Amino acid sequence: MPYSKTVLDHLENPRNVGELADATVTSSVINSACGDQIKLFIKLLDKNITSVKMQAYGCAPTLASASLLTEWLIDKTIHQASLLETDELIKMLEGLPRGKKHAADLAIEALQTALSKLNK
Amino acid sequence: MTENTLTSRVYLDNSASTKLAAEVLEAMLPYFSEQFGNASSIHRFGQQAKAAMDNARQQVADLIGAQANEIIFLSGGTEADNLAIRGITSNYQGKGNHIITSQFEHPAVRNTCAALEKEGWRVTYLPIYRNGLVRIEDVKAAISDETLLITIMHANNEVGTLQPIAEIGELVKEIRNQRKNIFFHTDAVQSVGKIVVNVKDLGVDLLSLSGHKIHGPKGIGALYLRKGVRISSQITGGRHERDRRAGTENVPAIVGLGCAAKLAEHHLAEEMEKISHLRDYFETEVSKLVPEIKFNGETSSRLPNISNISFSYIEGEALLIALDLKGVAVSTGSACSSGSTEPSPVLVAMGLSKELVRGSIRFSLSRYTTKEEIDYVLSILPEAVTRLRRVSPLYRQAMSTKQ
Repeated sequence: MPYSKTVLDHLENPRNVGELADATVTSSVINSACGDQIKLFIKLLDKNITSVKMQAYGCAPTLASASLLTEWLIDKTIHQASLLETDELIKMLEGLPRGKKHAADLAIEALQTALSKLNK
Repeated sequence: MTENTLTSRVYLDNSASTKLAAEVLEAMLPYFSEQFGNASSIHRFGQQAKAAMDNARQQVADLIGAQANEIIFLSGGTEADNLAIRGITSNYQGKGNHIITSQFEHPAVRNTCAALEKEGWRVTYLPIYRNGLVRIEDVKAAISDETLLITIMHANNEVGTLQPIAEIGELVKEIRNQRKNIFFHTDAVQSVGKIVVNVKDLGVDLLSLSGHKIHGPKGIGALYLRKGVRISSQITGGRHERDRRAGTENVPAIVGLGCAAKLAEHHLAEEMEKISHLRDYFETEVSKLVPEIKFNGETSSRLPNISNISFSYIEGEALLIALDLKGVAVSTGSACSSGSTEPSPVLVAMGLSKELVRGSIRFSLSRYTTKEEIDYVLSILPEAVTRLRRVSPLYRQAMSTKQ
């Protein structure tokens, strides 16, 4: 099996699937090279993230990256969330195989895209 | 049968490789120990090895309706394809500069043709249609006075469609009445041992086959070379295999291939019926249990053991992993799984949308597949698909559009 236990766990039991009708910000990003897609819905109370939902289409690491991201984001501040980087997410996933970094990149892109809408 | 009662894993990736038959292992074992002679040696050790090899050569020849001296042993399907294409083009250099192949060949053929293209050969890649088949009219139209070699696979490795090889064989024979130097090769790695393959009926001059696809060992295969057709050896060395493939013969593997061929020949009719029956049962049930799927490949002309299904809205790689976690081994045409950026050229050539190519899974059965195993797969597959669809934005979008 090329994937860690954490990746497989998130594939089998994806967290926070769905959408938030009252989301503060949302994002939808597509990896143009492979077609993988992540949608993110984030709800804020002041500067704190209170709930997150996601949808994902793609290979196992993409689904796992999106799922783990939602889990991590809950109860974080906007500032904490904005500091999250791909390598950190990969570490939380207990690693990704060579050539699969783009899955975590896409999740971070979804997060950054959503957060960037707050500044406007 | 429930999930918990299944003690072993279910292997439905027999187009990738097959389980070694117990009889094959048993036949091979003495050639790893006391029967270690070099088949080129004159003493008894050598002559015993040679006798075993001769026997295996006859067994392989019998499986495909050839003569023993038309069989060349080599390392596998890839080498057979290489030797066929390079062996013909280098031996008959100057007698033509054109090769006809298809868009969906195995990389062993595709990349060898591409390499020859760089060396100055003209290569025509015939299109494949939605049903997964090439058209004989296209072959006819592509043939020119310069055509030296036609190489088209017998059964496609992803969807199992059977190409009109016998018709192309007829065509080549007609042309050969007018001019000598045109040859026809088929990669039959997927079809040998699954359906009746007879080199005379197919009208081929060269045919590739592989051991590990027919419950034989890996690292062994054979090239059928019709009597009278000449190829240049691509490996220089000793005078093995009648000067066509140098290197001390891999006697244990050759014995294994021979035994696998014998088993395939003996059980072919019975197995074809059993396996196709199981496959059809699987497809009927899947279509009842899982909505929004597409069966790929012309069903009236395909191998009995392959079922290729596209599951809309989800990625084949994710489904493959989800099934693997439940103990079921399959493969996918999705690019994400193979580490390449290119999606399955076969399914693309068949005109499938990008999404359907990405959602494709190949289930390939063998003589060892049981109904219990198929029922187990049917018990876990719908849930795995549903779970991935629930996460998929594409699915949600499609559902909301439908409402």
